[in-house]
Amino acid sequence: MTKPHAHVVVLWTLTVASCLMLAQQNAPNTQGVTPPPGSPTPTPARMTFFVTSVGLGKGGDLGGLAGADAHCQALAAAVGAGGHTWHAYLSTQARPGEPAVNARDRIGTGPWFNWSFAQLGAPQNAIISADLAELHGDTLVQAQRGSNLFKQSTRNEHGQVIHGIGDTPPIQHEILTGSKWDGRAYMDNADHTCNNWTSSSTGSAQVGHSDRIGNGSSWNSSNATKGCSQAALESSGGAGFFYCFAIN
Amino acid sequence: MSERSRVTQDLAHLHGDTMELAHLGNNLNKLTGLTEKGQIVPGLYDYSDPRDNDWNYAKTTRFSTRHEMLTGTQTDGTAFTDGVDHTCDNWTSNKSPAPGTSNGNLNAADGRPNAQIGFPDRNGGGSGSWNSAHGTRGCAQTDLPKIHGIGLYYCFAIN
Repeated sequence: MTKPHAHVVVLWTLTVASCLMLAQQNAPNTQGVTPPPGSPTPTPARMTFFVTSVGLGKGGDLGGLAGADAHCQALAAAVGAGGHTWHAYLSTQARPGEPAVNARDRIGTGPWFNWSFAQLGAPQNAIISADLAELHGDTLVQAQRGSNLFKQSTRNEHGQVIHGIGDTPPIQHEILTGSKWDGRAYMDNADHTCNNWTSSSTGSAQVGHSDRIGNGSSWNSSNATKGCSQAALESSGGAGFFYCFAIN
Repeated sequence: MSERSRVTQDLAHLHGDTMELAHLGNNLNKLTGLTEKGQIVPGLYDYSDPRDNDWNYAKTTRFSTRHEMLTGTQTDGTAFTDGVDHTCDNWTSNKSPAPGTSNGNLNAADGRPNAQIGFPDRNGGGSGSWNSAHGTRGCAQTDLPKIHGIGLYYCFAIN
């Protein structure tokens, strides 16, 4: 929050980068990326949700929950949203002397807003979800409706849409969660979390789809990866990305 | 038949009759919710042209956003029972709201011509629901494009 010039330069850079990125998609979509004339000054601090624009590059090894949280925090800080405390939307499974951790219990209470809200004020599709119940579809009607988390609202911290089914490869829509559809950890003995986000070889992780396309339309729990190496994640349309939520 | 071409297996899967099915969701999406010509229905942000909201423009092209499918139903696929219009008077009305009564709100209201819609691209309306996301700004053909519909709807073969 220094000089107006700084905002303009940052925004211009972001906009150009975003447009270049989006121009590679099949469907042109620039709305939500280029603020219309007269838009309010971008306020990155208003963003409270994003998908990581880059992964950690080591497959399912994120350095545990702590490593994943730190990645969210660093990416947020790099775009001016570091004032919040950021947590990765990831569950871990129970281990001897170590209880399971539910992703839904780690992300505060909402509401959560995406990049569009930070950049444009209050445009359509800027709110991801009002609360935990809507986000997870806790009632049957909520589950049937779904939340506002879908392809055009599920953006990374730069405001870019995650490449999904039908877009130019690489498809990167498999988002690591390690969670069941209710946002809670698996209680069986199989690996659903790449050994609590420490394995980059054996094991498997549950993923959801940022575009809600593929094996149903779940954003947080649609299928398991083929393994935990970076190559295994990429082989089925993932990149090791995860959801980041501000808890305050 | 490719995996991608199957929209849904049965009614329960289509509508998410149980918590598990509702969370899994069906496979009706932008790449499976095609027209009878195999064309994708232009969805949210595909064509960010302000003229999309004008029927006089939308009727001249198939490249305007038009992802609002008339359904008149609740999320479970059943009719509304609340006594207000969700079906453009059972699909017989092309009325607009009386002047001054349009509140910009897409929810149905007493005396307001309205139809419930859903999105084949699962993008928009606060929920991405394929069959029951929100209402319209009226029932006239010129009302539907105001919020990105043109009066399309889903067709299923029953046999």
